Amino acid sequence: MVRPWSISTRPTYLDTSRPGSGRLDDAQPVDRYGARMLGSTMLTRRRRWGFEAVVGVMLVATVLGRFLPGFGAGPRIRAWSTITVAIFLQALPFLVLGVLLGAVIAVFTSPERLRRLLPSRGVPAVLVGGSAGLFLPGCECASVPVSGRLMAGGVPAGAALAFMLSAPAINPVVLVATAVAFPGRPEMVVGRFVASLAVAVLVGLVVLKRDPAAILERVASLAIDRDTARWRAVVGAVRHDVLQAGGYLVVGASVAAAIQVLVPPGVLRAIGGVEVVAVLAMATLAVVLSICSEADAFIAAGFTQMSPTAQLTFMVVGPVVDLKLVSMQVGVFGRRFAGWFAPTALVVAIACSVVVGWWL
Amino acid sequence: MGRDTAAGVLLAVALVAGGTVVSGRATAFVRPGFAVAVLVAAVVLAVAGVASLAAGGDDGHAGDDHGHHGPGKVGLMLLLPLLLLQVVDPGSLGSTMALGGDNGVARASSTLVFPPLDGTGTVDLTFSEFLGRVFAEDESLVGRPVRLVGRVAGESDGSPRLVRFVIACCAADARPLHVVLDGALGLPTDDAWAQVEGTWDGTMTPGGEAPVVRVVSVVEVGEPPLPYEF
Repeated sequence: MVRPWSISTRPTYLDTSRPGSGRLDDAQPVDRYGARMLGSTMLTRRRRWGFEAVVGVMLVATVLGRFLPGFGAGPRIRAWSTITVAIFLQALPFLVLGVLLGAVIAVFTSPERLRRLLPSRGVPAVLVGGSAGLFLPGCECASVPVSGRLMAGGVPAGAALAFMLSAPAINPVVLVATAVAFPGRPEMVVGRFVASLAVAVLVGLVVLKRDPAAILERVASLAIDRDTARWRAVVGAVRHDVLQAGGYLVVGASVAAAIQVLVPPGVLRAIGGVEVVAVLAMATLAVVLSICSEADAFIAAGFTQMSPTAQLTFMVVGPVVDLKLVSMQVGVFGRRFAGWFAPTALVVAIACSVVVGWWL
Repeated sequence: MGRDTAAGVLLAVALVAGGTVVSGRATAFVRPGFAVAVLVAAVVLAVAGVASLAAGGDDGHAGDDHGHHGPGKVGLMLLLPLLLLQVVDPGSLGSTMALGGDNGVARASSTLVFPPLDGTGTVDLTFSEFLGRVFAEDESLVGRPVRLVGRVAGESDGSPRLVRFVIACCAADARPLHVVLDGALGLPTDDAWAQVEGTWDGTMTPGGEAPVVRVVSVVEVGEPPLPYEF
């Protein structure tokens, strides 16, 4: 009894988060000191402290908040908190929707069945993946975990990523929101649809060309254990994806919120006059603000002094590359992959917006 | 991260996120329609959390984390917004975030056609409608007494304004709307909510960003249940 308890007196919610510590089914489980564990009851006892630590931290925070209202936070800290919490709360339903959908795909479909749904050749598969984005009425927080699970389930990376890029931009909810934001300017809706679909397909084709081994390696770790009961597998997938994608979502949200609070809003308006600068400024703004794709059209429409091309750039870049999204992609696909994927997607998105913007 | 820690995080998210909706705090962050979706998500997470704990008891091997890495430490970041909610309790966006606005969102809707205001006497208007009418050059608004509710800004630096944010989804996409107050005496301090009665005679600020409202009366009020316009 001595050894496991001596471990559990430490803040074990940190211990248990060490890589590999979730691996309790290893033939010879070891604790952090390399000692063999004594049996599964000990393991359970040790792990329970993680739960209690979380509960304890939340209780202390709640009591602190009661006795020190506001905690002496200044207006900027409060604004940063409001925006961080707002992005988190707003993204939560979409994250859960995407994670549930991903878990169901992972547990209830077999790789063979998924492959049969798609054309076997690369280019048609990417086209189908991109067009399938029409049918996920959510925002980008939903599509990242879904595409990770699709890939783990055997869908070619190019097709799954084309789906990930197109879904938040061309689904009906977003298109209707765009039409409402630009009353009397249906060409903005058409332009957004065409440009976003083009971005998804082009980036999907780039992925097809490049050897995506780097992501597949990471995504393979998402594979589901088919020996466990299905409900347990669904719960496990939901828990894993909410924590992994959600944790990175919060990282991205807090950085985006900090920039919103620190950068004066007039900076961008001052450079609306020069077209090239305006397009680049709106692309930068889309990356930094990390706004949900269902809201970005309203923001774009508010930049009345910007050209339609610059406004379109904002709406095409945002759902494809933004801080919270890149952060989530790092979590789901790994740093190396996100490191080239995000810049590639950004360049393609700006190029497509400028080309489509010509006709506006 | 171990399964019990993960379950604890899921339950904490469910409890705090669900709690903001039930207590009505959520409208400081997201629009009311989204709050319902947050509640549904919270229920799903609570179920996942309880199921994870339940699965732990009789489950000799770790089942679903089988042979693969569990979620990393980054999952603990989910506690950050919860801690901010519990400790800082930030509330709806304050007037600091309203500096330097140009009412662009109202200008974008100025192509809408507003029917003339009917009747006489003081009329309650939202910021969106008031500014929409201003930028659409609605004649029936000129000289008509109006009542607006918003946060006081710029009182401390001598350029008093009344502001209100418009959001599409959440406070991250908030855009400030403002009117400049003229002849305002006895304004509450910055960030306080106030109900202002006044008239607009067609005067704009020199840059044309905002209308100048001649104030007749100011009453300090509590924060409305829906602090943002949509």
